[in-house]
Parts: sequence; structure tokens; C-alpha cells
Amino acid sequence: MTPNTPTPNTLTPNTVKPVARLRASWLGALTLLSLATTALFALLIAPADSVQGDAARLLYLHVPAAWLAYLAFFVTAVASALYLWPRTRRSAWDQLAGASAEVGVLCTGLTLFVGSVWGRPIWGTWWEWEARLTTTAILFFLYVGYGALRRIGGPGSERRNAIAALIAFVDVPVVHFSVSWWTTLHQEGSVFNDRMEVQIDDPLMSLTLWLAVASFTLFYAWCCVLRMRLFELEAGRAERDLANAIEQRIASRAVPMGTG
Amino acid sequence: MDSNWGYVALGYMVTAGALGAYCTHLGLRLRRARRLDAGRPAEGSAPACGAPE
Repeated sequence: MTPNTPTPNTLTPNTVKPVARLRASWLGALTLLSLATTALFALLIAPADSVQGDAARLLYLHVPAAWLAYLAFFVTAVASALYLWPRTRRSAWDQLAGASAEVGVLCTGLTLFVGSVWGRPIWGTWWEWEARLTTTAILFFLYVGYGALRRIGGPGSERRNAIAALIAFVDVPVVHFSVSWWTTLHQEGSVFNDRMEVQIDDPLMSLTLWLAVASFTLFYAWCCVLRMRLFELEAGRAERDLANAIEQRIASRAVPMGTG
Repeated sequence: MDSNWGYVALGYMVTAGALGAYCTHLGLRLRRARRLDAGRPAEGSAPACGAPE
């Protein structure tokens, strides 16, 4: 390397294409608009429940957050499996897994919190160590651990992360079927379950619930896009820093040899 | 007025706060990463010891 060779700092920046940035902005605007509309419907337009009263309005947060947690961890598991599969191994799958799990942890935390706030007026308790709540709490801590594992980094970390994500995903069906497998305080699913006594009969309530699910899903997509972009920028930066360090090391060796 | 509105307000405010905080966190990190990517120092960061600037 000659002294006039550009330093790695002048390497082409890992800039994001303006079109992609514009799309993300539109997705963000759409997400905020749909979340605001959901809040309007959930708090003002949808009627109160005939049994639970206004406390049932927490349904429009609790159910979408739980749905999104399932979706996020499912995507994490699929992306991890695709990373482990040699033919489809790409860092982008690992990044998607990490981005999705982060939103999943947020949504699981919200599911637990909103469920607890809802349980206080309806069940008379903030928390019970019953199957659904306990397995959901375990799910939350499993993916917090997965997030911590990702931060360790190092050689082979992507493979290790992918295996951990697949192991953690085992708890998702356990959470889902816990209300069927064990006697729980938590009711069974009411959206796709015709056997249930609890039904959402009011069309406005159903509309609000589906609007909330759609809004949260948009939020998930938007956050994943932003998080993956952040992963790309950080990875590009780390690569350039490494290249910079290697070239500086080579240059520092070359100078004494030339002068001596 | 239904006495459960307090619980509803708590649930909605915390959820809005959590979603907003996460988005803000992502946005700020992304802005910082873009600045570093473009070769500019991140806002609020001091130049490294011995750096020309």
C-alpha cells in the first residue's frame, strides 16, 4: 500500500437508497395514522362491553400485542432456520431474526402489562401464577435472553443466535395451547373459537379489533425495516473499521521496513 | 362514568409510551449510524484523543 492510497474512511459509505428511505417514511406515516385511528375507534367509537364495561377496551391492545408477539417470534424462528440451512445462509436472515425478536419482546412485555392491568378489574388480581401467564412470562425472559446473547457477538455468533432462537420458539405453542392443556384463569381464545361462550358479537367491536391487529402489524413491519437498516449500517461500519485497522497495521509495519 | 376508565387509561398510556419510546430509540440510533456512515461524527461525541479535529 502506498501512502497515497485512500484510507478505508473514504470507502463507499453504506448509504441507503433514497427510494427505500422514502418507502420506510411512507410506511411509518401509514403506521402512525392507523394507530391513531385505532385509538379513536377503541376509546371513543366502539361500544363498551355489556359484561366487562369499558375495561374491555383493553382488548384492542392485549390481543394485537399477543398476536404480534407470536408473529414476531415465528418470523425469528423461520429466519433463524433459513440462516442455519446452508443453501440459504445469509447475514440478512440473522438480522431479520434479531429485528423481529426485538419487536416481539416489546409486544410480549406489553401483552403481560396490559393483561395485568385488565386482570385487576375483571379477575380481581394483577397477577396469577397460572399456565397462560406463567408461560408468557417465560417466553418474555427467553427472548430477553436471546437479545442478550446477540449482544455478545464474536465468531460463530450468528449460528449460535439461530440455534437459541429455535430453542426459544418451542415455548410459543406451549403459550398458545396452555389454556387448552391446563385449567387456567385465562379464557380460551375467542376470535377463531366457535365453541366459546365469550363471543365478540358487536360488528363495531370486531372491526376495531381487526383494525388494531392491522395497525400493530404495520408497526411491526415498520420497526423491522428500521432495525434491519440499523443492522446494515452498523455491520458496514464494523467492516470498514476492521479494514481500516488492518491497513493501519500493514502501513505501520511497512514504514520501518522501508526506512530501515 | 365507568370506574374502569383508570385502568384503560393506564393501559393505553403505557402502550403508547412504550411504542413511542422504541420508535424514538430506533430513530435516534439510525440517525447516529447514518452520520457515522457518512463520515461525520455523531452528535454530542467528542473527537478521539489525538484526532486532527
